[in-house]
Amino acid sequence: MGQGLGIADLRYAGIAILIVTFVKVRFVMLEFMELRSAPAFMRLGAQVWAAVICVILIVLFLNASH
Amino acid sequence: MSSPPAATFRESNAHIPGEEGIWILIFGDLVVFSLFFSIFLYYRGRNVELFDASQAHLNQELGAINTLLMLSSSWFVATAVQAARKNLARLTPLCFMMALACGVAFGVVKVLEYAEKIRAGITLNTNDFYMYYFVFTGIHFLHVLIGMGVLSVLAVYTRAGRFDASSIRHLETGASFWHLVDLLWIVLFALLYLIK
Repeated sequence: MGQGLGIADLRYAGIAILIVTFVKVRFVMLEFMELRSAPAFMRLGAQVWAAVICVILIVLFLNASH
Repeated sequence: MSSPPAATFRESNAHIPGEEGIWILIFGDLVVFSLFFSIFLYYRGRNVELFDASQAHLNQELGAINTLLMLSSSWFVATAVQAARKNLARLTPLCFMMALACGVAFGVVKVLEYAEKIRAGITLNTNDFYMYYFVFTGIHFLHVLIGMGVLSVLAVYTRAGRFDASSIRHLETGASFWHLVDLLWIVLFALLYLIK
């Protein structure tokens, strides 16, 4: 009893899940898609996209009204 | 005109994998799916209770299995491209076939999952959460089917062996698309199945 996760815990967990997700996305882009050896605009562009969309999703996630 | 100036060496050493056109398609897909991801979380934010209650009925195990299948599949494709560069005539088509097998398994799991939902009376019209669930995973599934077509062609195409620069470019084009399919699933899995 009483061991359920509070809203704050769920929020931290959600943020952690989103960050880990985009770390994986970055890995797929740099290693599998081989953007690590691609021209700078592609290599950096992909990582900037991943960082920006990750931040947008975290903000939208935190914006939920419980 | 005979030799390029030394200053351009570094940039000319950089390599765009595959045909340039595939990257325009990948870019377009990323923009569209970024919009999908944002729309989903925006509307979740306006009705968290409904979204969380609906998510509780998703089969997380099946979602996790599919994530594993997608990652393995992507790894096989990356390995196939590496093998082709080393002119490994047997390993290359084998890796594409393994990747295809993972893709087929992903499809089977997805169909089982849809069937489970439909049997329980859950459809596109049930609520907003399931509308997004079916539309987003459905559009992704369409990508999986196209990708499986590409992988089949590559598995057959590489059976002849002997890989030159142009054939490796073809492989990279197909591989890049398949990695995109993997990447999109990683985010869909987190949004639809995991975050509460």
